[in-house]
Formats: sequence, structure tokens, C-alpha cells
Amino acid sequence: MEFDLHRRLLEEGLIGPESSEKIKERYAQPLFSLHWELKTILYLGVMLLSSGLGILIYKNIDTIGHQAILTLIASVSTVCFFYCFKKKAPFSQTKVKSPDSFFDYILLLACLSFISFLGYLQFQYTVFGNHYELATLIPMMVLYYVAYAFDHQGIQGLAITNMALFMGISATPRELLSNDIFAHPDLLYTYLLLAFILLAMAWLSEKLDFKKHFKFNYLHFGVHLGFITLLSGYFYYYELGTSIFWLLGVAVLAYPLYVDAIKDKSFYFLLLLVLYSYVAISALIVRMMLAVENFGILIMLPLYFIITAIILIRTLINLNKKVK
Amino acid sequence: MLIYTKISLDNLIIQQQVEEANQMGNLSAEELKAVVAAYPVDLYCPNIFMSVGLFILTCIIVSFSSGLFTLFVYDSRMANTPGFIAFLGLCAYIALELLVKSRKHYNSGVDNALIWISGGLLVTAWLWATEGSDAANGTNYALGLSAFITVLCLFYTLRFTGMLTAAIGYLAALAFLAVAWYKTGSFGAQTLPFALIILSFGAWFLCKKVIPNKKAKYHHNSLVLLQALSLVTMYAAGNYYMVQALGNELYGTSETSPAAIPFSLFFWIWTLGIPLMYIGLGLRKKDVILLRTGLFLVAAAVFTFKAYYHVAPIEVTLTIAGFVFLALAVAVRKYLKSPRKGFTTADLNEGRLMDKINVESLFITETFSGTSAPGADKFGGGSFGGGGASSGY
Repeated sequence: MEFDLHRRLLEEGLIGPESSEKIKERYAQPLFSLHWELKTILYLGVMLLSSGLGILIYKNIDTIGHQAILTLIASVSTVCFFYCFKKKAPFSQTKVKSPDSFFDYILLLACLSFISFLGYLQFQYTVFGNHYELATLIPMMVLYYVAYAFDHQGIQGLAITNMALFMGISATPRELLSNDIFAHPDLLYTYLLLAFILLAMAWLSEKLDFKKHFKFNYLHFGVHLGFITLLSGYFYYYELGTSIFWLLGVAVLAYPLYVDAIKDKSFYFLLLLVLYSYVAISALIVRMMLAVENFGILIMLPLYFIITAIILIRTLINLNKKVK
Repeated sequence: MLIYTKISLDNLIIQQQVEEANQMGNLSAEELKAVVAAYPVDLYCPNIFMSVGLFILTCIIVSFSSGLFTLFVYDSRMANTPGFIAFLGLCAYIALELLVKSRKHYNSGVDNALIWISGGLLVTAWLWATEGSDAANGTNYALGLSAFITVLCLFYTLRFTGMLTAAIGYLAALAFLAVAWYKTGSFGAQTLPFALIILSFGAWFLCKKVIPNKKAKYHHNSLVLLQALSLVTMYAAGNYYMVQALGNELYGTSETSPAAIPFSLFFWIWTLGIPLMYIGLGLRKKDVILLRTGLFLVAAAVFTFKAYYHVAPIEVTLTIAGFVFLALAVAVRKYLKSPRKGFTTADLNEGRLMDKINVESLFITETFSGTSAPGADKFGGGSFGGGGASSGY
């Protein structure tokens, strides 16, 4: 707070003498925080190291040096895990604050190098034989264990993407859209199943009061995956009469999520629901308009979007007020 | 010049500062409430998600409205002129003025979208109108365009206090001055990097001098961004790779060796030394802009160096760099276990949560989900794309 403002507020009696002293003290000894700088360096260090080691494996997979690399990766993972287990706060069902961001990133490095290690073992020595699902199941279980034991939401996210990998699909919305879901229509149901599992886990996290704050990640991936899959299903089966069921799915999904978002006062999810539902409804209306072929469509269509977008803006503003 | 009343902006600044003090634990919740009640803000500035939603919807409304309007006048051939585009831009601008005046939108997404749309349309109209008329002399075309963008952005920035228009305006102004300098003749062409360095430094110095001024407080954010940007352009102007690319472009050569251009030693010292100088100065003067820009530019220095000198294969470089970064983090953390010389590693603004979203965790998931199992795709786990930048949601 600026000094002038501080004096003015004090004179007007809006802040008490106690707070005033605190602010003055801050002014006398300004502290310069390197928190974000340190975090960025840590993030970059973990990213560079894990991708460097990953490429090292790739390039040396058939050469003499692979055992040295294997040892290096194993020791990085072991040292990091050892450090984290030593520093770890005792487990609790509720949120446990991590010792500091250094701890968080060392834990991340431990997990990433452990997964690299497993992948290398499987490729070189086929330790899991032909049970490919084991090679993704074990990392997934380790990640889930670590995420819950150490209360790390970043690793929870990795566990979720690994779960998708275990089911043979990808989970992040970006990959989902770039991988062209239309190329594999048979995977639509797998995606739906994953979305359902994630939403169920979100619900259970809260219901059982077990790591309640993990709900956000489950919900985030579940909502995106669910809606993208349903809309993709609708457009893929556009010509069939049954395509309407995919759109009905959007409504069935949206309603409980709406109730939940209002309860949680989470505008982020409300926005997602509104936008995804808007796409679904507009798809239906445009289809109906196109069915009635005449020139008026050229005017009706833009009008529809102009009017509905204005209505939506009003709805969003009202919803925002509602959850404030 | 400002479209907002000074009282609104003043109160907004007060509220922001009080909220910050509250988050740092220097102010109780009751006091915060009292101040907010005493200095009410009548501006509409919603949270980031709301802004994103409003931005998208405004774009939908404007594109369909202009489409519909174009459809009505389509037969008259009027639509096929730059004047029509300029007219649409003016309409968008009028809508912007009216909406901001009546509803007091301030960074709500609606005003941002309309600023971009009207500005974009006006620039497009300018491009279309001046296109071809001066094909023989490309520099005049560039001069006219950059001058137009500068004036437009300056106007938008002063009226709506936008950060991004300020940044674009700065770059356009720099481009204008660079082209003008280049046009002065062979001396101008040869000294272009030095001219850009001096201009950028001037801009940085000016911003630094203007920031404490009370009259500039509504443009505080823009000035901070401009400071960082001018530091970056000052570095880029003397970066070896940039100088060489510029020389190749101007003289039609294709030099790629690391000692080909005149004063190459100076430019190499600049390339590798400036980021470190920024960091050093930033730490000494406790200037967060210098410090962060310097850290960011270290990456640029490393990439430039790697482009000319091959020291080790990429994976070895990455691994070693990773170890060095982690070691650096350990050292900093050890050194600052308790605050020293006014530095700390503690987060002073804790609790700034956006709608219960842990952005960091999403970022980690997005960037590491591809790299997390480098061997996995080899044994048929499934399809997954490579890691990369985070997506925009």
C-alpha cells in the first residue's frame, strides 16, 4: 500500500492503529520476494532434467551405456523419494500444506524419473512380459498413491492422464481435440467411461470427505472430456436418428453439474456448462433451420446468434452475481 | 482523454491496494470492508473467467452483426471497398464508446473485444487503401502503416488504459523510427542496431521516470509492461543472431558464421552479458522488472549461443542444465532460509486463489503428461501427443 493512501485511510478512521503499525513496518523494511523466481527455476530444472534423461534413454537404448543411464535415473528417483519421505508431513484426510515448493518439485522429479525408469525396464528387459496393461497400471497406481500420500495436485493430474493411458486414450482436452476423435469412433464409449469415472471420483472425494480439494482436478478433466465426447458423438452420428441421444446426454450431464457448481460457487464450471450447452443447443437449432430450406435462413441464422449471444451475456452476468 | 471518471479509477486503485494489504495479513477483513464501502467502484470488472466468456460472446455478436449488415448491402457493391471496412470499424468503435460509457465496462472482455475488433478493422481498411499505391517504395508503405498503428494505439491506450494496445503501439513506434532511420542512407543502415538500442533505452528510461508521477497512475500497468518490453527490444537489437539476420535481410547476404558481421565481439558480449547485467542490476536495485526480464533473456542468450557453437548433444545439454538449475534452486533456498539483505523466498501474497483453481497443477499436468512416460508409447500404451505449451482454457 502506498504511504499517502495509508495516511489518508488512517486519518479517516477506516483502518485501526494495529494494522497501521503493520503497514508502517512493511514500509520500513520492504521485503523482496524471490518466490516466483525460485519456483520458475525449479520448474525449469525438473522439466529440463526429466526431458534430458528421457531423450538419453531413447538415444542410447541399444548401446553399452544404457546400464549407466539406468543407474543414473534410478538414483535420481531414489534420492528424491528418500528426501520427500523424510520431509513428508503426516497423512491426513484433509488438505496438508506441503513444506514448500521445493518439496513439490523434487517429488515431481522423483515420479517422472520413476516412470522413465519403468518404461526403460519394460522396453529393454520386458519385465512385465506381454502384459502391456501392467506397464501403465503400475505407474498409474504409484502416481495415485504419491498424489494422495503427499497431497500433490500436480501429480494427481499426471495420475489422471496415466489412467487415460491405461485405458488406451488421452485425457487432456488439448490432446483429445488434436488427436481427432472422429478417427476412432469406437473409442467414444471409452472416453465416456473415463469421464464418468472421473466425475464419480469428484463426487466421492467430496462425499467421503477424503482429500476434498482433489475434486477440482477430477471435475475439470471429467467435464471437458464428457462434453467434448458427447458433442463429438453427436456430430459423428449426425445422419442417424439416434444422434439426438448424444445431445440428450449433454443435458443429462449439465444439470447435476449445474447444481453442484452453484453449491460450490464455482463460476469456472458454470461458464463451461453454459458454453458447452450453448454449442449443443445451437447445433440443434441450426439443424432445424437448415431443414427448412429457404432464403430466410441467411437472415435468421445471424439473427439467432446475435440474439442468443446477448441473452447469454445477461445470463452469465446474473450467474456471476448468484455465485458471488 | 480518459473515458472513465478519475474517481472510479482512483477508488479501484485504492481497493486493489487495500485488498493486497489484506492478503499479506496487514489488514483485517472488517477494515477491508470499511474501505471498500467508503470508496465504492462503479466499474464493471468481473473475474477472469467471466471476461473470457464475455470476450467470446462479444466476438460472436459482432461477427454475425457485421455479416448480416454486409449481406443487406451486398448487391450495391459497396461492401467491396476499404471504406466499408473502415465504416464497420467505426461502428464497432461507437458501440465500444456507448457500452463503456453506459455500463462502465473495464477490462470486462466486452471492451477488450471491441477494442481489438474496431482497431483491427481500421488497420485492415488502412492496409487495403494504401496497398499497391506505393508498391515501388516498400519503406514508405511500412512507414505509413507503422505510423497509423502507433497513433491508433496511443489513442486507445490513453482513452481505455489498455496494456496490450500500449505494447503494440510501442512496437509500431519503434518500427516507424527504425525505418525512418534506415531511410537516411547507408550510415543509417549500418548503425541501425545501435539506433534501436538507444531508442529502447530511451523508452525504458522514460517509463521509469514517468511511473512515480501521480498523473501517470492510471497507466501504471501499461508503463510496467512497456518497461519490460523496452528491455527486451534493447537486448534483441544487439543480439548477435538478430543483428546478423537483419544484416542478411538488408544486404541480401546469407551469412551464418559467428564472426562475420562488423563489431562481432561487441555483439557477442552484448548477447551473453546483458541478461546477466539485468539480473545483477535487478537484484541490486530490487527491481522486479529488470530481474525477471533478465531471467527470461538468459534463455535467449543460451539459444543464440547454441545456434552457433555446438558443444554437446541436446540431451546432454538438457540434463546438465537441469542439474544446474536444481543446484541453483537448492543454493538460493539454503542462502535465504531466513530473509537476508531484504530478500526472502516466502510467498508474500499468499491466498490469491482464482475460483479455487490450482493453476500450477493444471500447468504441470499439461506440460508433463506427454513426457512423463517416454518409453510407454513404444509398447503400445495408446496414442498420446507430445508435451508442449499449455492450451488456452
